[in-house]
Amino acid sequence: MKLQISDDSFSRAMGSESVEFAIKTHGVKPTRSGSLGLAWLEPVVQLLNSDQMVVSEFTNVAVEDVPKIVAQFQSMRDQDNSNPKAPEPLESITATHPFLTKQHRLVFDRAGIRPPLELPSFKLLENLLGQDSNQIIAAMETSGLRGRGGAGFPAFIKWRTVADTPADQKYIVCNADEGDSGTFSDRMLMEGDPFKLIEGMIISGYATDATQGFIYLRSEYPVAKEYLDQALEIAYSAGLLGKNVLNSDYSFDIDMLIGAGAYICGEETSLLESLEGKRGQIKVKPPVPAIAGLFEKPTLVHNVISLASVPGIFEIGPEAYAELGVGRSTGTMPFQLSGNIKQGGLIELPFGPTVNELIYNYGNGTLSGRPIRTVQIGGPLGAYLSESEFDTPLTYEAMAEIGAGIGHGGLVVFDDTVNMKEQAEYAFEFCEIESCGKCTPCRIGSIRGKEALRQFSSNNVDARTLVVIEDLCEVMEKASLCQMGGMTPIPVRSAIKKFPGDFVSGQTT
Amino acid sequence: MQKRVRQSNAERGTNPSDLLSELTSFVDRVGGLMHALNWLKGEYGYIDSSWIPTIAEAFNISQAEVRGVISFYHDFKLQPPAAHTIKICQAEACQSLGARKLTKDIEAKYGTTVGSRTSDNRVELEAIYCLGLCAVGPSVQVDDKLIARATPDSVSLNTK
Repeated sequence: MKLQISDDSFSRAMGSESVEFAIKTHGVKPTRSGSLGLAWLEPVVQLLNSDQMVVSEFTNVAVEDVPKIVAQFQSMRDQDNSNPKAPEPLESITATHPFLTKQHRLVFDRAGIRPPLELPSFKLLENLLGQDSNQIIAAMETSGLRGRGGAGFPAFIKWRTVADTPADQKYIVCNADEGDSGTFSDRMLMEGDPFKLIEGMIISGYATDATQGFIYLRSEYPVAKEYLDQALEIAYSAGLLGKNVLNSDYSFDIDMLIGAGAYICGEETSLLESLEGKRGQIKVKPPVPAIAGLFEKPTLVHNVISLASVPGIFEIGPEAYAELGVGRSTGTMPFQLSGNIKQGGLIELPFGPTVNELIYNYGNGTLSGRPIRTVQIGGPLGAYLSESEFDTPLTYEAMAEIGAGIGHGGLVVFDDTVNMKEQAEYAFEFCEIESCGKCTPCRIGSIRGKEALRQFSSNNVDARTLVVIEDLCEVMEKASLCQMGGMTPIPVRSAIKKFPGDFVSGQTT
Repeated sequence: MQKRVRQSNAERGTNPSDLLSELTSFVDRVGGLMHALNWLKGEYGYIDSSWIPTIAEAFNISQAEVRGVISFYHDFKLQPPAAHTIKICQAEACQSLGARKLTKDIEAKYGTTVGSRTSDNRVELEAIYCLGLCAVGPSVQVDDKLIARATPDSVSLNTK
């Protein structure tokens, strides 16, 4: 018998540490699992029989529940000892929850089920390490995988560019600077199945002839750091990293750098500057990092989920992977449902569910019980949708058609108390705080935009100001060097366009 | 606990030659200066201006470059932290669950504002943009402790 408690940032924030402490004071040492991503049910405590089957489960566990849980554990354990027949497995609440059973988990297939630091099988990787790297890149092309960090750029083009650019050193850089509000899939993967990421990095390194990998992790994720530190150590001692990966001819190292609280470092050129130990100021592209990246060497920069999607592609086969999803949005996407939502968490599905499906079927409406007014998709640089757009399928193409983007897959739900003028103001303010300062449209435009809206304490913004805002948006969009300034107009314009009542002008134009 | 570590380090004092030898271990590492500044932050809670010449010497770069890097990142501070730091998420997902009001309530509770600290140096309030807990917001971090579904009552200094 085993008593297992979920351990990730969600569970800890929901009180798992005090629960774990209380369990220990009863003389029972719990084991730790990751989180399944049913965030509103955390922390979860499970009793497992000797076949690792759940025989009892408790959700939203508080310290007061501990005596009851420990008593049940002890009585089951005693039965277990006296009776060869172990306690009967139970239909566990989390495992049978429709939130989970309707999902299609490829990236998160192990997260929350296997202990995060238990080494999985690397049969697949062993086979790949003997293959021709061109074939691996061709398989990536077949899979149709597109970058999961935001831009949705076809992954294989980057891989091929790095592979075809001659250099004495090439790098794999994992962008784990997931800073968008409403996103946590990178964090959950790193905390729940760090070996999946490591495996993806090794495959991409082998295919592109890179021997050094880096993980650039944001400092706001200390629990992910804890798990990755341990996973890297285990990987080295298991021969998964270092010289001769799994006894092959290929050698690959991974080092990790912790960021220091700069959202802009999620932009790849800024991230590479920071990784070199400098200010995270963005650089003009071209050259793209795949040709001249870290220390001017060919560098494959991918976000966590892109890299962690790679093992799954080879597991089910690139053709089968390409079958998932819709059109050129292939494979699965770990969507993240958050904000004012009853059932928030991680929802991995093939591309194509509508916003409605996620917010109502999975999310079950708002936490406040009030009607949903808007959903922001794709982080602070993403569009606010109006209710009439909630039936849009979540694919790169359908989102682009309504002037939105999937970004990192985060959906933030707001109820009808949201003030869209405040949200537009905040979009400018966030850009002001996080701008790297290199280009004027972003650095100054953001401040001007915020001031222009903030001068009105009410929602009675005058028409002249709205013209100024639109001018600013145009300059920021067209003249900013990177997406920070370039995409800040998206939330601003969508708020003004779709919720004009929140910017009601006292005078007519 | 954190506070004690900081104090004992401060009591020990930071001798430039000791600091130089500590920093040499970071010099050859990729991103060495970031690693070094992160280490100083972890060890002392801040980066004292008086250490900048030594850091510049260790990395063989100008003091201006060191200052440039420190000033770029929100995490690197030139002032010692207060005894406790409360970071309140200000981003959209938390806004949707009342982070703006929560921020005001916490400010009132501790008698200081975000970006400032109490006069007795006990508590400082900071804005943070996303702790990755967006499904169970609003989120707050008190020192090392993460708090989901935060309320003015659940945000307290005796969280352990």
